[in-house]
Amino acid sequence: MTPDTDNLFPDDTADATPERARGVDLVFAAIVTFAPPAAFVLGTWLWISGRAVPSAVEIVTMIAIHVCSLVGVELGFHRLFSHRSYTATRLVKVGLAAMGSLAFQGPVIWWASIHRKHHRYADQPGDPHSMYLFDPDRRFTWRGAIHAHIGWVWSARSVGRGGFARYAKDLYRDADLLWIHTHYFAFMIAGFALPALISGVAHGSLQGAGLGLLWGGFIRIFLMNHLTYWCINSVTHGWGRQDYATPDHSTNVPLLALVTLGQSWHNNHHASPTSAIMSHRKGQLDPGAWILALLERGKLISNVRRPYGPALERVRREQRRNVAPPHHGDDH
Amino acid sequence: MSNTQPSKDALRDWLLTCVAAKVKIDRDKIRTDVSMDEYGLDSVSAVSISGELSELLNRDLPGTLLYEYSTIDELTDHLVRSGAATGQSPASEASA
Repeated sequence: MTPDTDNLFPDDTADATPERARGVDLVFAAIVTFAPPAAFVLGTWLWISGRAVPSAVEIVTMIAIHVCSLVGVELGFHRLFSHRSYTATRLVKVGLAAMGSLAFQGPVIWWASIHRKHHRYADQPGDPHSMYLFDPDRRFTWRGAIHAHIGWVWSARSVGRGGFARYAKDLYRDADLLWIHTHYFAFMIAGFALPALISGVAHGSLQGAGLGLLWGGFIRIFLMNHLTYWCINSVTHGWGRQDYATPDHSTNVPLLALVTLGQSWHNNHHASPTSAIMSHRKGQLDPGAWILALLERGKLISNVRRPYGPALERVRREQRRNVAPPHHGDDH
Repeated sequence: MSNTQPSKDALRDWLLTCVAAKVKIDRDKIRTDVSMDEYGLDSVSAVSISGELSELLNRDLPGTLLYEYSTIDELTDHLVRSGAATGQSPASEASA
């Protein structure tokens, strides 16, 4: 059956706004959906066929910008700006916002607004990227999984056009953040221009610049977004274990802990969203928390919120249970 | 000096026209007591309107202004209070 998407995505944030997908949103959606995987295929083929083998310069640049943007998104966009889970000096705040803006995940305040809305409606109608809204009984569907992973960036109702200040008024009032937010396009371009420039200079050729653009630009985005970070919206709401009886489908997925800087302890996060620390017990790797500990020791951040407390107890299960494997039968 | 200051009504009218043009909605459909953001005014346009207001009123205004005062009414009242507009409805109004 075809779901009534008007009901599935109640647009409480844009009561007065005519619903229309803006051309620029669709252009960005198309680029970020298709260009990075295509670049990955092209880059791999060029490498294997020996036509254009990436050198250490491309690989190091790619990893360096990848780590920068991952730290910016997870510790900045997410833990600092969306959840206010610690206090940062201006230098750290601006640095994280700038670094996250290289990731091709949208402008910082928009990102935080989407995320706050996700927590408000987690896996209920209104959630911008839940996979459970395409089935009348709110069961898993593959269509929903694709929507949660990447499809939502194509949905005018998910990316919204109006009412976002309601979710992030505090962020819009921060002049530094607003500047970075409104200059997002320049940061995004820098994420492509920088690796191209580095490789172009290192190899002294236009082909070198192209190789830098391919690996440090598009393939980097494929590795961060498509392959790892976007799994937070899809995988960690579909597969894995729930340690807490949160009213959503969030799960803990240990396998993704390192590559998401600890965000794959996503059930922990939904149980205690204002905590800056995602690890709730020994052995749960949370690289983001390690970086925060270093910054805290250097007095660059403070008021780091910890996970335990009465709020957590409220949602703690009496007995842990494993989430049943998602039902795949009724898709389409 | 007051010749360079628009009246409160003129300022409200200017803002209404400006917002309507940015969000491409008929100005008759825009309410002055609803957050401008609700009509889909994006942040680049919001900062741009702050800049245009600075020009119009010949004073430095922060880019965050439209988020401090999110409705046209709130913003107009603030500008009148801060002395940027006259608060009256004189015959001579800014022709911006």
